Amino acid sequence: MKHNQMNNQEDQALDHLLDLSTPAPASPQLARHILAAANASGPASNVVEFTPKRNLAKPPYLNPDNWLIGGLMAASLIIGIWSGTNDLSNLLVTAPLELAGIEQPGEFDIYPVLDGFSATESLL
Amino acid sequence: MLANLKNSTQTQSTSALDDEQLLALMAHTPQAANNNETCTNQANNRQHAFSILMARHLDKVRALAWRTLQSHADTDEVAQEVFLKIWHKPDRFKPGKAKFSTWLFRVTLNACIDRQRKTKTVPIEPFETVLRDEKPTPEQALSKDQQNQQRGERVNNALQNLPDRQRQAIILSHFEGISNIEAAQILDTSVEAVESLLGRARRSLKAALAKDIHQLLETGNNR
Repeated sequence: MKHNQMNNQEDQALDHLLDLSTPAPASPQLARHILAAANASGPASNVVEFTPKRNLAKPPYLNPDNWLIGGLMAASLIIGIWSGTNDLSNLLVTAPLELAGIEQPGEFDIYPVLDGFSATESLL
Repeated sequence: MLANLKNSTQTQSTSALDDEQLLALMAHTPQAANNNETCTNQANNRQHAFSILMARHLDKVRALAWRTLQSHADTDEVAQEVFLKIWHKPDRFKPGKAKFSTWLFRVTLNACIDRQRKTKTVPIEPFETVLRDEKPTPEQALSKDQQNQQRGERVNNALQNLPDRQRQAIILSHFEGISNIEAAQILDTSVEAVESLLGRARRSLKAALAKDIHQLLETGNNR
């Protein structure tokens, strides 16, 4: 009982002491200064975020953006390998020529052209 | 909400709006005036709303920054930083999640933390050293004002020697008169943790200011 009473008295004394701590010094021009700075400041995009840096979570190594880019790269790699192994690239080059009537179906081959021969030479 | 706000601004002056209405008004009006008369009026309203918010809260923001940083220059810079953020991004406050004052204290405290990191000061000597090196002063020879001033400085030292989180808790609770629930929101922790921080802070302060406390108790001068 006496201990509690002592504690209460100490708490009251501490509160009294805390109230004696030096208050913030006056700064009468600050409000005007802030208002002037607000009017003179640039666009909102220049303003830093509210959250301090400690609260910014590090983005995960694998995130949706990474998945999308990785998926597209993997798909293009697979298509590239597949088209190189089944003459798709040859088909893509010859189809417009055949449609235009310049070459008969099956007569043109892209590979001699790539080797340095013309289409006609390759037929000879 | 904006429609209601516009109606309300027509029927009552801007100064009668509460903090959240002022922020909403700022969020929906342009920052700068242009040749359009309507836009010019809106920009003026925005500036007026901002001035009212500053008049209401600048002292509280400065008090919190001062207790945390104990530097006049840093206090004013933090206050400016906080209010410029409000000027540029009033929509960052989300009504319903917390009171404006709670949010404002949190923004201020975060600005103080960032500033402390940038300008890390020399660690202040521990309590024991402060007590041991205290020169004996003839208290009777000092006027009451002088005694109080010296005590105030010792209290400041004791506060600065507290760990950051304990100091923040005691500043919010004692000096700003904030409830433990709000303090928990500002400090981003639980109410129990705030109570624990306050308990430890008060024990440390009692130990650091034991001499003054005993003097006050002996003279019965704690009112």
